[in-house]
Amino acid sequence: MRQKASHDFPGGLRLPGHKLYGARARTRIAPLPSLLRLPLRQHQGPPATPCVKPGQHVLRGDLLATASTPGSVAIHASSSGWVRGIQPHYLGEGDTVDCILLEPDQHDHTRSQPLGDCYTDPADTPAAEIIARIAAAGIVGLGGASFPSARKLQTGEMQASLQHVILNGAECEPYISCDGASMLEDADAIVRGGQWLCAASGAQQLSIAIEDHHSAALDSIRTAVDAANDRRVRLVPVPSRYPQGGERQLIQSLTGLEVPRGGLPLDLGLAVFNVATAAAITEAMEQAQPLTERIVTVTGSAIANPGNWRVRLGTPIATLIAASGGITGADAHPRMLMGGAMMGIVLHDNEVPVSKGFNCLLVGPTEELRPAAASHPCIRCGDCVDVCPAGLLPQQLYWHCQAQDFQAAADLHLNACIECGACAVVCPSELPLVQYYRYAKAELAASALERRKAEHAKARYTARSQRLEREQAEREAARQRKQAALLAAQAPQSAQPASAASPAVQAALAKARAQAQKSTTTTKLSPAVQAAQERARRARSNDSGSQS
Amino acid sequence: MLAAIGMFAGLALMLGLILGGAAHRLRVESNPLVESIDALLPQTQCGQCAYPGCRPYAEAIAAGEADINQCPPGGEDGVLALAELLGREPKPLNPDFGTAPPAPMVAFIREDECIGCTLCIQACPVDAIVGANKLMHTVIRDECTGCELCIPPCPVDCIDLQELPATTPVWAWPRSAQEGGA
Repeated sequence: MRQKASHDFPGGLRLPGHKLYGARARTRIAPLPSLLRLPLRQHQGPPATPCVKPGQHVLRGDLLATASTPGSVAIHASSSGWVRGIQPHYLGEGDTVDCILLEPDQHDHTRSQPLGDCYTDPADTPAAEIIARIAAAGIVGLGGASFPSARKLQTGEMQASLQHVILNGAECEPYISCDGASMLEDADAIVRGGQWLCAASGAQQLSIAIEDHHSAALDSIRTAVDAANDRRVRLVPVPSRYPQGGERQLIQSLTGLEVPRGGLPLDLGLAVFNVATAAAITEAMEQAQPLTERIVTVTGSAIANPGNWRVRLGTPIATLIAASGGITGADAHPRMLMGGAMMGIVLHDNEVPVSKGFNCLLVGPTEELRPAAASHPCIRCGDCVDVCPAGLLPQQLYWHCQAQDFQAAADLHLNACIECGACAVVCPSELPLVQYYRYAKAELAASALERRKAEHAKARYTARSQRLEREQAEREAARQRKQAALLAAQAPQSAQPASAASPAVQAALAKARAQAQKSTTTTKLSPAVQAAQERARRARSNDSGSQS
Repeated sequence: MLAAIGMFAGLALMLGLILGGAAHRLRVESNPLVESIDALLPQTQCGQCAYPGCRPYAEAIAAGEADINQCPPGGEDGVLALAELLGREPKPLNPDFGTAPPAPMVAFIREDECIGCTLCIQACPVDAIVGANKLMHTVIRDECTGCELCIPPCPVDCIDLQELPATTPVWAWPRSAQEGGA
């Protein structure tokens, strides 16, 4: 079934694709490096907990680190070999993460069904089992955001239900073609993965969105959809316009609904998964194999032989560059980006390992990929407003961010910015707008964190003060009880009425009596008790001093 | 004439009673200004402002006894926020009370040297140090506010202040491409 998307998202712009099509998009198998680095955090959330020892031999698919904390995702061995230890390694974006070092034995033995039984029929499998399998396979969104897939399906705790699953094949960012390759080669697995997702979530509708200019992918998926013969599945070509593949933009194109600010697609009963994620889910369900490889596009004008590679997770990008024929051109040290030209992150190290969210390695001459260094003042032309797909006012945000008035920027919904970079592309003054927004977002997050920490410290301080007060009151009460007991013991013996004596006299009497008793008894008091008595005595004399 | 006077007198009496009753019933227990000042302070409870904690300092500011530039952990931003709240002229931090730390700090106990005297535990305003008598103590990193109050009581000087390393959740983008070199 095929129907055109009936809606559209605001803004956006057409960009030159620079993509690999046809035979050039076909994937090749990347060589195994001499050392794999598997970051313990390749997803959004807390890092996984390692569960292997240095020197241990593992097979491909064996569990290396478990998702022991909620929100964490398991890591599996991506080839057979020896665990060599843990080392922090730089992953780009100021990000240094502990990585498990795995030295491949180059035999590449795969554990058979490391996740347990293979499932065959989505309709016959309980939803909870599918979600548990997706979590156990360590699957995260392969589109780049790396959100744990199982968490999108755990709708129970959000008290919401999914009606519509969307598979995102709109690979709108220039240069990236890994999803395109996946759609050409794994079309059946993608459609099947969509069916597994429907079974896991109870959704009654499955849309596969592909950009309308990508006819090869459309044909490939259409064949698979026809073969699946499932009434829930429909193929929707969407306009080829950046950022069509943004989650919110895609939802708007398909349904005409806007995801509320600060809300989730789940609020609309929707969930969006990347097509490659769907293929990985099929493999986890039907072959019981965890996520250990992904497709990476290696491209850019400085790459001799660009292409798509099936890469084992943990492979350093130097291996990919070498496999792609190395660096060409005049610039011996071209700029490397993780991701596409629009939202990619600069890498300063060619040992950065491929992680689950690594979709594209873009290598090009600095002047081609770097925004102009000298920008001009904003002329308030308003072009950025026209292209903003989130409906924001980029120039206003820019003014506030530049003036470091972050609260004003937040009031203009800075956090709804998806950092697509469309505003910076059209800006005639070549302002690095997204850079300002990222900076302001980080500052806002930092001050929110500071506020939370201050609240927490205050709560602890208050609790401590109350505890100290309570202890003081308890000590005081104990002292008074003791004094009362002493007075009661004294009353029958003494002819003098107790009330007539001043507290100091009473204390002296009590002390004398206590000493007399002590001398008659053989019991020796421990030094601690003596010290306590001494303190009590001092406190008493202080009291009497203040009373007089 | 008399009727008018009587009417207004009655009205005044009635409104006065209503106002008096409302003032009594809707009385605010604590000074709301103190609350809002306290909310702007960093809650390190370090006492560098010469008051025994953030709340006493907030009370002193509200009462006009203390100036707004006595809080080094709050830094310039803290002074600006207080000036904004109180409608006063912002001023630089008073160096008599200390200087703002360049980065968030946490205390660290060199465990080999700790003799287990518990003095730092008693000094910590947020209970961020664990340990027992004659046993090694340690700082709970996530709870430490870096107030430095544990440092003077330590008889063997085994407590250092360390800069909190940047992790992914707290790492920030530089201000612009030119500055960051990115």
